[in-house]
Amino acid sequence: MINTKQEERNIISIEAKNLVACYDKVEALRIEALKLSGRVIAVVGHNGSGKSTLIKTALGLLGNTGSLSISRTNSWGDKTTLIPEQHMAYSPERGSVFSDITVENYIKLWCRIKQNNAKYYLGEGRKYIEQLGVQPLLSKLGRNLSKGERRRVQTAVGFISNPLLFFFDEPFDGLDVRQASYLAEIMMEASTSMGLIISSHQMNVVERLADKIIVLKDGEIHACGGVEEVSRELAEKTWCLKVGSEDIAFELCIGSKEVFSDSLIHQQNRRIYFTGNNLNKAELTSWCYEIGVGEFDLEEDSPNLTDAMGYHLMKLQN
Amino acid sequence: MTSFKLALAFIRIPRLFLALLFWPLVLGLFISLFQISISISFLQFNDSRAAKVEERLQSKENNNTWMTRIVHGKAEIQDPVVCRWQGSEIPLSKRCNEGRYDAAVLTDSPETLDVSSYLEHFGKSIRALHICKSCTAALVMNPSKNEMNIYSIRGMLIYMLKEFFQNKEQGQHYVDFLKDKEKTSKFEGEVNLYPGNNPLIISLSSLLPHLLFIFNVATLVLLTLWLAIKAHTKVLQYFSKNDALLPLVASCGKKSFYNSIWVITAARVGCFLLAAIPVTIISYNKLLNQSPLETLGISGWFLLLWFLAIVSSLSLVTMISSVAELKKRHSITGFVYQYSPIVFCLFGLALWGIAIFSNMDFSFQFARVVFATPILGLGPLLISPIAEADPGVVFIHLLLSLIFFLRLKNSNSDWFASHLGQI
Repeated sequence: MINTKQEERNIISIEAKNLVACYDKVEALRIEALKLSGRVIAVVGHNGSGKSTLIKTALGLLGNTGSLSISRTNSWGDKTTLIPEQHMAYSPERGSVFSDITVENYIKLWCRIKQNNAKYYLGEGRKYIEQLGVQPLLSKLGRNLSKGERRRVQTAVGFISNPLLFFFDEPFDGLDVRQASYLAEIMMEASTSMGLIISSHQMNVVERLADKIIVLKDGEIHACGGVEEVSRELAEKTWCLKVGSEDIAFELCIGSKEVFSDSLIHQQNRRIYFTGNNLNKAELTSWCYEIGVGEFDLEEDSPNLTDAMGYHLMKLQN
Repeated sequence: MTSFKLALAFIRIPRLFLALLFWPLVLGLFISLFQISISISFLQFNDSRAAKVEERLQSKENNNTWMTRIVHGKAEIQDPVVCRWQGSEIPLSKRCNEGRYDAAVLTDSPETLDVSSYLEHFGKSIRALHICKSCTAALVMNPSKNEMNIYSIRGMLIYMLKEFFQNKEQGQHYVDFLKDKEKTSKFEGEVNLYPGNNPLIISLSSLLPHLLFIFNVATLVLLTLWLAIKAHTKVLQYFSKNDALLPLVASCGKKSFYNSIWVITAARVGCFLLAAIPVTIISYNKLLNQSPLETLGISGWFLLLWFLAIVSSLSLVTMISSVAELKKRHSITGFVYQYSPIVFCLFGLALWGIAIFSNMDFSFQFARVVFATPILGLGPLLISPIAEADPGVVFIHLLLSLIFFLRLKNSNSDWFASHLGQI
């Protein structure tokens, strides 16, 4: 459990004004104004929405106009402007390990660059090697690693440089549920000593990890703020319909998708969740009576991030 | 400092070390040894001092060459037998049967033809000379048609052996001619060319070793340029192929990373030159019994200045070529950008040459301006040891190249960072 004192530390603030980033002459990101603070900030959005572009711009890897600054406030209130090469680490989407050298030599290269000591990973940095299960991979050549293993190595390398802010681009992509959950735990623990900015499509994990969300749409900010706030902005309400049995719930779920085509509907045990902006209790109740649902219970709920984002993406698709 | 640290860390990657440092070292050694041995052989073969030519001829006096051994075997070389064919075109004796290393002269009157000129012509290069109306041999002369036909490889061998004997005979006349020429040269002293009535001097007396030296240096310079351009793209491709470019640039800083690539490029070129230059100098010393500086008649300081100017000018050319390649690699006209500096170098050399050899008042000053201009002046700079160039102009060229290089490097590091995705 993270205590309050720890929560007060590592507050990362992002401020952007009239920020425009382009690939060649194609505009990929346009942010008029952004001001957001948090420990773990998630950047979400559809494919091509500008998530990776925002991360690359923050790391100084893309030419841009306007301003973007990231700072960190510690528990004593001291504010430090973060500089990519000094304070930041980056784990790219595909992970990066040289194909023709061993993982050990790759880690040594990073230890030399970031810690001036090739053996750092055997001393202070050892905990990250162990935590991420990199030890058995040390003698393997980069080309023999799976996607998940590459990801783990690159994450370990990022932690070894002791950053104040760690960028993860699609960190859970290519990981199975167990590995994703384990990585999320490690990230959660790391967030006590460093800020994290994560771009991901895995809303269930993002919801667990992040305290602030930036939703991008076509290179522009669609919503940003706390998780609940953003979820409400994306989808006003979620209605939970509880029926007598799982079978009834299953049939109702399939039938409802035609009637409420502009809502996101999914079933969980005896419950059916309706997420959308144009739903109201009267409409749902009359539909239940209409199709002859016997006993049911209808409750209004706050939409979670997974449902809200699902609804947002569904609307984009339509 | 960070750039050096980074470069050192990269070079410790075994594959990068092999490709970027070890390979140029080996290449430098091989290239130097090869071109030096070719140059020295060329110099020795073309040494036209009378004593040297006479020495070479003396060595030819021994007839025991591989050609004579094939034609005459181990037996003593004899004068050829003359076989005059008559009437039914049948050889007169058994010894006159057509042999493999015989020549024939076709004539309508084999009985009366005067063969002395033919015997003198072929000398001991054949075993028998057939005089006939229509016989065959490895080599057949037909005076009426004014032609000589060679019908086999053996015929070719006879022809070569004939040339060899003729050269030997005429060689003495050549030695006498060279001795006369040397007397004239001693009388004339050192011959210098002052093109276009300007202070530039080209020594015609020792032009050949000068040109050879320039040729060797030009080869090294071109190879250096090629290695430098390759190093630059090789490092980038290595990192991008492994998806490591972005995290590395993010963690190291774009300027430091970009500079470290230049440090690696310089180290690669340094390795090549480290292998090539000592081998070249030592070989020259040993084989010519004279140092290249003595051969060229230039001072050590000028050589150092010249070398530094070439390095800085080359760095600028490499920078332009590699940036052009990076920026325009997906364009059809990409190669034009890449090779444009070399075209400018050649254009500069042509401009300089025209200016030097023209007699107009401002032409020499114009030539100096071309010389001092980076890239345009690389050609004249390369041949400056034979042209006794003004060290001041060489220094200006060095300085300007260096300034342009640094400015270009700084302006391109930002471009480099913003186009990493395309690399």
